[in-house]
Amino acid sequence: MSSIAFASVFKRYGTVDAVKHLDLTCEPGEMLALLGPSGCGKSTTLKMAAGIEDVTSGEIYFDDRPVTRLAPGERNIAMVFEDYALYPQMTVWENVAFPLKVRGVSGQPAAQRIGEVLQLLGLRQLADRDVKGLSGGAQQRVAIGRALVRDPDVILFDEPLSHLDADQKVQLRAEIKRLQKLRHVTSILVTHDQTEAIAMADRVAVMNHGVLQQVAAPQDLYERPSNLFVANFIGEPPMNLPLAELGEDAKLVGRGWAIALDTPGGAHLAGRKGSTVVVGIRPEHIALQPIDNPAAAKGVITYREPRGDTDVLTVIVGNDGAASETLIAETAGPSAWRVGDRAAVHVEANRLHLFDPDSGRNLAVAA
Amino acid sequence: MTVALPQTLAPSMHRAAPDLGLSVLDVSKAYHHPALQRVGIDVAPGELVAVTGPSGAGKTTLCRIVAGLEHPDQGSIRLAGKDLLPVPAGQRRVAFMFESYALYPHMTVRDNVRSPLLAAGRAQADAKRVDEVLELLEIAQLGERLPGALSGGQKQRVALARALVQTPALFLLDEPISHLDAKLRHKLRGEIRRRLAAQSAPTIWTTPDGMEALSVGDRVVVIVDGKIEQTGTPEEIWNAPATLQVARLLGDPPMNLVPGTLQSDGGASSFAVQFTQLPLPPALVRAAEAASTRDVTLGVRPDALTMCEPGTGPLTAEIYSNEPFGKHAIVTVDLGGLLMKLKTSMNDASRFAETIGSRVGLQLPADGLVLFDGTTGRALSGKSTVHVPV
Repeated sequence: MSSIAFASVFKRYGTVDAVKHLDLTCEPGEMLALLGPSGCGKSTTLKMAAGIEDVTSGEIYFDDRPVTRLAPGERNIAMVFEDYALYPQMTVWENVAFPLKVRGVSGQPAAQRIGEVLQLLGLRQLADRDVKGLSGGAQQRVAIGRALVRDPDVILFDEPLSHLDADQKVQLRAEIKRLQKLRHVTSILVTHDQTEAIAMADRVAVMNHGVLQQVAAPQDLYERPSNLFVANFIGEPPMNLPLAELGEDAKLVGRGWAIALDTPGGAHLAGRKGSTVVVGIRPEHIALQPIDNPAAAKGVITYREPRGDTDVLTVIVGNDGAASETLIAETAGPSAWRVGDRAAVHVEANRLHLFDPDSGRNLAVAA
Repeated sequence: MTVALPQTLAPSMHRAAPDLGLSVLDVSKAYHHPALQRVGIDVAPGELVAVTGPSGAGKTTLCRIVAGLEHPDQGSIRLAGKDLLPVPAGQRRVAFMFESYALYPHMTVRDNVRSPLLAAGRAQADAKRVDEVLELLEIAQLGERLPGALSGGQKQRVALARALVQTPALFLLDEPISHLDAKLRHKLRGEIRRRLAAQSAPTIWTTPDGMEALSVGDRVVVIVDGKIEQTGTPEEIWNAPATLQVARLLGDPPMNLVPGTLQSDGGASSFAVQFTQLPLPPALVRAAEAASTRDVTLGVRPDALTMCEPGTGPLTAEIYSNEPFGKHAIVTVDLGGLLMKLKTSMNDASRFAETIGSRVGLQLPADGLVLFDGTTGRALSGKSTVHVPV
């Protein structure tokens, strides 16, 4: 079990900067997710940690040992790939045994470790089966078993769930999280899917265009996104991000709606009054109620998407005048709201986020 | 941006004139094995019916039969009151998006999307439609590329654009967004839905994702092994899954299904599972009386289970895993070897589920439970709306 640290790591392909000045540490025993859209640099970062991709400048450390110029085989890492990469002609047992075999571990010590790992992964009954006929989820568990059996310092997971059916994804992500917690193996997970990152990782590093945007525990990322990119990327449905004028009286006035802030004297508002801000409102923090209070912002529901235990509603607020704003609200489902219904729209002022429209920075999160 | 509200989105308007829409009546088709068995589906003008089921269920076969690419062994297909079966595929005016995309490899994205309009002989006037659809699906910047230079998700959007650009008598969209990443899928399905609603053609939209079916369909048809398990509105299907197969396909995560045995002691019924007896709520007792067997499966939604101190609930389990999602957490518990999932508040998750292997009590809700017959797999409770072909 070791830590992995990227110190000012830079990766350039020709004229393209794939990863820019990355400073990031994965603590011993931690699972750190690298999350971002395709082309954000997350896979390149993983490959640099594995040693399959050179580093243009900077240094990678496992604990205090620089590994940047070590070959992959000298780093004591294990990798789990999206396509499993098992030996198809071998049984489950033989696949898991393989890394021990090539290291000359055999007999009782090997059998005991293989048995333990198969038990942990619920693969005991499948030990003698060929891997070919197994479901994708079972094959990926074999691949994880093969990674665990040799006690690596680090496991690198490269999109481990992306080839699985939805139900197997749900099962396996809980499984991977549990294993990682029980074995305390330092792990880096690369994924483009926020659900997977949040489900499995202790901390999530969000990347975009080769630049680290924020690294935080999943709940912090959700509740305190440091900039507009993270705010928009984390959460489904995504955060509403309408523009508003911040008045001298700390009142936000948007297109067809207005909210009085609950912290009018907040330090983060200093010098902002009288300027435009981006307001972040999570869909589940918009409450829709029957119209009884004439002062409340009014909206009309233009689309309803049932998602089982929730309904996602598109609401146009401020429809009385020319100015209006389209917001997405999430409510417990199945709800009684229907397209065409009018509703009073309430937003909890203490749940709002304010962002600088130019830099994208969250005004309440220290730089 | 304001969005004009198409009147066809109001569900009450559907079914008003079913003989003007699509009517699939008692259709069967067998290859080596039965692919479709006595399937009946009505789709009203402007209505979107989502057909969902696991792969191999018969979704694509259904689309191919309606499009005229296959002939059914039995049954009929009517569109706007006319028998479609004698009409050749090319004359059915169906916009069919193939799951396999079937793009012309030598044509650019724009030309692929424009191709059905050329055949209709009105290419000039409709150049704007092509642009609109490319914009809608966020592939406008790819217009001059060849399909070979596109990713799988981009190809899928080109194939979808080629269907959406048309004004057909019927849309058949076979897994139209399955290869897009989750974020784009969520964003686009509402927009595609709105565009379709602005037209008066009936639409069939197939998907292996039960939750996508609930989200896009005015009504949902669940099909497994070539047979319809249930037809209903998203609310009906969600609130009262007719069979175990339906329950397995819906929910994120899906309903927990707990096999057990019914016990009756005089008037009171209980449910025996893993060395424990659970008293059944009155509604389920009545349902249990209809069971053909003592072996039943209890369905419990992940959001209906709650955690409590060990020993204070009717069930005791061990924490298996905890996934904190921000607005809720998904906690997996081990109930004597049976893994169950709970959708719970972040507070409860941090209070009870921090440590793997720790013990936790489970409370069952009084409602939100469904009892399934162990032999037939049919729901014994709730108002199921099983479709019976006439």
